[in-house]
Amino acid sequence: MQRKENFLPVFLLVFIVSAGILGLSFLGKTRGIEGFLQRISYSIGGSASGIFQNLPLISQNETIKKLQEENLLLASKIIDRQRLERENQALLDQFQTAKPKSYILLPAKVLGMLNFIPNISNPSSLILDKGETDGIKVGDAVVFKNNLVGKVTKVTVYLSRVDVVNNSSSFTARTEKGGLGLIKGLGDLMILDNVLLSDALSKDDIVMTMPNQNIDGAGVPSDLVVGEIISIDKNPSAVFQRAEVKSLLNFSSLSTVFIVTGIK
Amino acid sequence: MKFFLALTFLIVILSLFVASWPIVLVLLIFLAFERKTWIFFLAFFGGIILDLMLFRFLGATSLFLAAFIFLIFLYENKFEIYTLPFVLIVSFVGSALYLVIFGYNYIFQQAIVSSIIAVLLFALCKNLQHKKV
Repeated sequence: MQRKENFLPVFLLVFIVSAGILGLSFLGKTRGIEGFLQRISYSIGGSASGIFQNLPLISQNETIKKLQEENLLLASKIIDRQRLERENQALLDQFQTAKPKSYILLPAKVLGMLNFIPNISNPSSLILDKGETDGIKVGDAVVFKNNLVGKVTKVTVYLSRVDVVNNSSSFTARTEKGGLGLIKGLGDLMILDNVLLSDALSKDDIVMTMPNQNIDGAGVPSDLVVGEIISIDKNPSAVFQRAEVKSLLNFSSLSTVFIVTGIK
Repeated sequence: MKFFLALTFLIVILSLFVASWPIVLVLLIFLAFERKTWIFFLAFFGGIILDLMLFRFLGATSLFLAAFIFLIFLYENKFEIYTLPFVLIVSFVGSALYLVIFGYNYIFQQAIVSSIIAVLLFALCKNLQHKKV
């Protein structure tokens, strides 16, 4: 008969040590060691992520991937055309000037994805290999080819966490036809809410970000593609109309993204 | 036992970057069948690694895992735990609690997946034991 070990002293030891570490972590005393250990751990884990993305059941069909890339390119061209039209208008109007902004972009590798269940849910957050030492701050926007990926919500010494745009985000946005609204993230989809009934909304309209940056350049730049409208909910007796918006990005296939760290 | 330890290591790494399923919890439930005190140390280190990787406060997951294993050991004092209903219920309840406490989405789906994995692992363990005999 197997002799039962007395587990209470060991449990109490582990419990007290864990509680102690938790307390130190709350007080911010473990930042240094956390950053160092995270760096080592993610240098191993990054390889696992790369292998996983290439598995046959998980990786995307090449045709679909190509179509998605073409879709991203077309959306980007629509926005560029609109920006040129606005700049032309501003130049024609002699009382206004338009100064095209260029942003400082820092490439970052995606090391991990949180809450990602293949074929069931998109990742809610991405872990990137850039942190405080690279000048990353909470609130910095993360982009991929003119598309908004999300915002940095947590930064450690060497890593940062980005909540993707679908994940309970809330920011102002506009459609390509000029309709203004508020984007709310609901997990796999977003809702463009608080759009006036007088604003025209159509299926497949591109939704873009509004200017939302502070003087340091942190925040979300304007004219980034948030997604496209897939359905509209318009009730003539309501004050506002709303639309469901789907991001053009496949977050689970992203391996490198770009963090907007400032304005040139 | 080495098989389980190797599997634990692999799944800790994979679960961080493939999905955030509480698979480590499922593994610990199986290791609890052995009723050895080193399982608490495994829960502690596994929890610390998970907290580091998932940007949580260090020690939070270790506390949860240690407390959960303690409850399983207490239950084992009175009742038999090497049964399918126990594995199914404990893995579901434990996973759901873990997902709720740490603020995950799709709690029900992930808890179901964890239970299915637990049941399959249990069937595998029983099969291996029969073959040994």
